[in-house]
Amino acid sequence: MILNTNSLQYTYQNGKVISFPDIEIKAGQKVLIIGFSGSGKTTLLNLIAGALKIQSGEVSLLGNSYSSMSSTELDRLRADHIGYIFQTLNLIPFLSVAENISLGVKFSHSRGLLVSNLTVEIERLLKSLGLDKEVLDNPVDNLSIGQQQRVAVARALLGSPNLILADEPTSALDQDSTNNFLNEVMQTFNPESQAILMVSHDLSLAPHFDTVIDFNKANV
Amino acid sequence: MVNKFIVVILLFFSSVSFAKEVSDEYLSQLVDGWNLLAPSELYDFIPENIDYKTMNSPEFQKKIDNAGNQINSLMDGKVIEIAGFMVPLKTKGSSVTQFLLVPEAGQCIHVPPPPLNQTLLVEMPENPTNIRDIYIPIIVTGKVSVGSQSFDIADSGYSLTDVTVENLTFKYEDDL
Amino acid sequence: MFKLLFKSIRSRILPVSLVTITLMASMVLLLSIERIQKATEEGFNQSISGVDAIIGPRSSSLELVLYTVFHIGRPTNNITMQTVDDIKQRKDIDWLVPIALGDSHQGFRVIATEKNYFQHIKYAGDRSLSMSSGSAFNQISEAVIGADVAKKLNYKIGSSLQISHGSGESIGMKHDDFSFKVSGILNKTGTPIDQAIFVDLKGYELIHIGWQSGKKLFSLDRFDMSSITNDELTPKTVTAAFVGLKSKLTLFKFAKSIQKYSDEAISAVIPGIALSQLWSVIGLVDKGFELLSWIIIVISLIAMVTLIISSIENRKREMTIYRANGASAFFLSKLVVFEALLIGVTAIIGAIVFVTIVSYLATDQINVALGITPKFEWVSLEEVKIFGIILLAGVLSSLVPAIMVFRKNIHHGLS
Repeated sequence: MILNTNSLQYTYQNGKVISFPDIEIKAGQKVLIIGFSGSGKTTLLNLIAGALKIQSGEVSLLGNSYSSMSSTELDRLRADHIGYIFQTLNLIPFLSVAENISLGVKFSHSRGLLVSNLTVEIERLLKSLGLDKEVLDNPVDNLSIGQQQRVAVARALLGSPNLILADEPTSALDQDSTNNFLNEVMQTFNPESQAILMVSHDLSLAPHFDTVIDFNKANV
Repeated sequence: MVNKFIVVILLFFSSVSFAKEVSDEYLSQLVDGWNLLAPSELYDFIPENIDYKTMNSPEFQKKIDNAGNQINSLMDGKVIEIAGFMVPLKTKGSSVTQFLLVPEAGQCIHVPPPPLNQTLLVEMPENPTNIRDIYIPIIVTGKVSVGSQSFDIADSGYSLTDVTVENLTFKYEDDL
Repeated sequence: MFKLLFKSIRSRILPVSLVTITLMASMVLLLSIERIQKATEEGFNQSISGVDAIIGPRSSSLELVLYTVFHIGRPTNNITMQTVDDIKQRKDIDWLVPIALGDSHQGFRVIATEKNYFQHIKYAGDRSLSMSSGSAFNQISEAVIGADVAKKLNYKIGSSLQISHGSGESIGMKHDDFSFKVSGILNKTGTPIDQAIFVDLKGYELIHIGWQSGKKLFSLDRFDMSSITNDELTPKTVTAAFVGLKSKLTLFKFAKSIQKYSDEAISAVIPGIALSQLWSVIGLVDKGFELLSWIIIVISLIAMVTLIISSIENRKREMTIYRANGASAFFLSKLVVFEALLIGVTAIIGAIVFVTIVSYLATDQINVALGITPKFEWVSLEEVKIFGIILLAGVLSSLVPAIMVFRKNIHHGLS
């Protein structure tokens, strides 16, 4: 069991309350959460990532319960076991592509140890994502959106974190690119130790995933 | 030293009014005004060759004093432009409505008072001028009238009315 | 972390540089004022040495020191030569140098004195006056000039000069009937002596023959020089007299007995005491400037904090990505604080280097403009303390945006 959430509930500053359905994710699972904007998808990811303090309910990653952990411990947990992909603007413009990717292990001690040779591993990841290693030499701004997102994936996968969280990473891509992108992503992760949780509003992505949770139906 | 620094700053603030930069010839002209007030003929009694004994004799000294008291009545009504130093008499705030103009800085206060005919009583009741430090040279233009009045610091024979006053600067002052 | 920080700053190099320069400029101001103040105080205290007391007419002791030592202001009164001679006879006196002030030449003060001035008057602790060329006056028509006078007016041994009546602001009345010849040029002292012209008291008296109440009655070429003896050329009054005592222990007793002198209203001023009085007056002015520059530093620090706060907006993406990859909120705050630290340190070092180098290269110009000689040193202990305080203030004020970042991330997570 990689991830377990239980009776998660969040109250926003404007008073709105959202109750999240319980989620269970095992190794090898590819989970898609569908919901329209404002349905709380990002909040859920934040709670799972340990970046937002839990108000009510429980989240447990690899047996570690978040409510019993301090903020520092949560940061470390996230650094060691979670890879995060944003919707857009994943890369830091003043860092090189290689430096951007290395951010994945930068804040983690254990994850970095798993990567014996950083350069080799980065090149391998890029290749499996359909990127040429020459992309490493390019300034970040020269990459296309598709290339940028792949680089972001490489970062999230570097060091093989157990849980990969993705917040609508394909919304800036067109239909064809989206399919290619998701195909490559699903090939690169290791089903024995890793799982993916993605949120999106786009139902057409469903075929790539083995579990689909529909927030629209599940929400209060 | 900071002395000069401070003095420069103080001087700057005290004489912020316009100053006229004068050439040597113009300066001589301005100084010449004092000669009009005390024409050189007054001192004709001084022998062509004079010696120490004569110079110190009481008779000679008395003649000098006398000469200093002679007023040139021909100057009455004339307009002059003259350079000198201010000894304020009547002030109104930071302006002065009546002052004595003397040829040498500090006269009347620090240094022996000037002869009567080397003092001007300047009246500016309607349009007073800024007070100046007694060591700042000024150019005064006005109409002379002849009379006699007495003050604590010195006697005065000439008065000046319809007056304008300007500051005076010398070229070497820039390099203070 | 530092690599990230440097690269981040480099991407925002323009605003960061501007703030650093602003901060640096304000520190340059503070540093300059502090150094000028220090050099001036030292300069003042160095200006005269070896003189135990200055005898002058009874007036403000500060005024007396100002015009006899610094040549500022004018003498208010004189003391008689008779009194001076009388005092000279005293047993507790080692030496006495009378001086007369009042005239000038091209803006430089003329000091009439006796030859022993150059022997007894010292400066900067205990240094004696020395000539770079020539010698002190032997005849009454000779003059000794200070180093700056020689330089500014391009005078050499043998150059002739005519003295103007009054102290610089006099209008055109020259003693043009008598010329002095430069017989000696003094080595530079870094004191008001450099801007002074020295003549013999007798020469001074001579040029004032025929002058009365500030008016020139006749020129010297009409005067029969042979009719006056050398003794008669000794002036009847002088401005003041510098005195050296045989034993410093008798100083206060001496001063008191001068105060009680019945024949004339005179007093003895002890230079050190008068100088510290002067210093407390000037000190106020300096404190004013110092306050001003501290205010400017505070303003610059506020500018720095403003910059950092606005940059955080721009760096939101950067920071969120770090956070998503496991960086703690504490790490983000560290980035902010270290950036402030970096800006502060750069500004301080820049200011120190700038001021020290400029004062080194422009030593001459500074000396002429302000009359002080800045000491060449990179940084003094007090300056280190001051900068430490400023740096601390900068870091502390950066805690404001740092905490903002911290709280924002804790409460809003990744988005």
